[in-house]
Amino acid sequence: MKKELLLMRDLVDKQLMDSQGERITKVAGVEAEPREGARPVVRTLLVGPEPLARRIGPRVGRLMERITGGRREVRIRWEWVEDAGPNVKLNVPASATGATHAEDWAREKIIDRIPGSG
Amino acid sequence: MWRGDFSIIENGTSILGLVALCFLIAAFKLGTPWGQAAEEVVLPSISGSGSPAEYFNIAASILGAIISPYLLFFYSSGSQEERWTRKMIRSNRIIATVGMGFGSIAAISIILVSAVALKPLGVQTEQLQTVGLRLIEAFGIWGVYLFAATLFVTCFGAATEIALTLSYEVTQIMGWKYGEDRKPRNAAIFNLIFPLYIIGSTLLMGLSGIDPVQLTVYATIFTALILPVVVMPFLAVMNDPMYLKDQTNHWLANSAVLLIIVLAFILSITSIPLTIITGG
Repeated sequence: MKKELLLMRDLVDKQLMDSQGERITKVAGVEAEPREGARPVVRTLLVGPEPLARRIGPRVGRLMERITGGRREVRIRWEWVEDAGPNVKLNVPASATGATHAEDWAREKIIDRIPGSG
Repeated sequence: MWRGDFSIIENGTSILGLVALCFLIAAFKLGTPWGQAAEEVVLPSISGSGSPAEYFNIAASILGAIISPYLLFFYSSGSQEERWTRKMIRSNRIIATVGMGFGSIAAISIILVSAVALKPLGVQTEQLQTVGLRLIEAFGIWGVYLFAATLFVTCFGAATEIALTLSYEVTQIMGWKYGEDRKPRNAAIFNLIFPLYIIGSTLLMGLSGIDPVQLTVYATIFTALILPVVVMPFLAVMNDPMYLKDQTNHWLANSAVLLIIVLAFILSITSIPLTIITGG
């Protein structure tokens, strides 16, 4: 992918799509690695309630991490990103990202237990 | 709603909704003084027992009800569900105009029928049931059935749309899967939100004993108040070439939208304090 991307315009809060064109969730943040003598480089996209809460403030972020135990934060590797703007398209299926927790929970715990939901 | 797909819900309720046209027929049968009515539209006069606050209230709530923000979300979600393409823009303009026109004609008819049938009787419309009285006057006993059918279909249509809109909004904001045409387990959160909403709101209404009509009136005025906040992002997208390419809004459409939301905002912001002072 050789085009100029702006972190806030093209990545943060944008729709994450998997390789099948299914919606996964939205990008909550990015993680960049600082480099000596060069610009930092983006390694992962962050997804989940923890990175969202951290954007409100460090205290809210810590509170959310306490609630979830930090288990809902998912890292999307930059190698998976195929294209960005206005949607962020991945080259892997949603199930491989581990970012489908909310949808899986609603399906397994509730929907599948209601008769006639197939 | 789990079983049906998007078009069943949409087409079913809209065809049944045609029954609301009985109010237009009633307006003709009751011999509305059309000239006088048109004059009142252009030059509204505040007369009779109503205070200015009540008239402002009605105007604000009509605007709030017609341009309900949920409609914008529902309509745009529908375009996604039915996979509209560029070719459909023209027919869509016609559909939107006819649809909104139909709704407005039905609403105007109800107001006209109310005025013609009830003013001589000195009855004030405070409850939904009294609206039905006028249809009886126009159609006899059939008026009762027509009124019941209109009430049921329009309420049912609005309730389904609002429940689905809530599902669309939550899943789209969070970026989750959505779709009325999918099997529930393929869009689990989407199919979980609207039943919960229907059950929750039914329980709330049943247990709290709030007058639904009163609540609706307050809700529509409040809608008009928050309209600018809800519509501005839409206006931004409608002018964003990144999403719409060459189909961005014309300046005329932009000014019309701005004018209506400013009007609705002014009406509601003035009518709310007035309502509180006059005690509803």
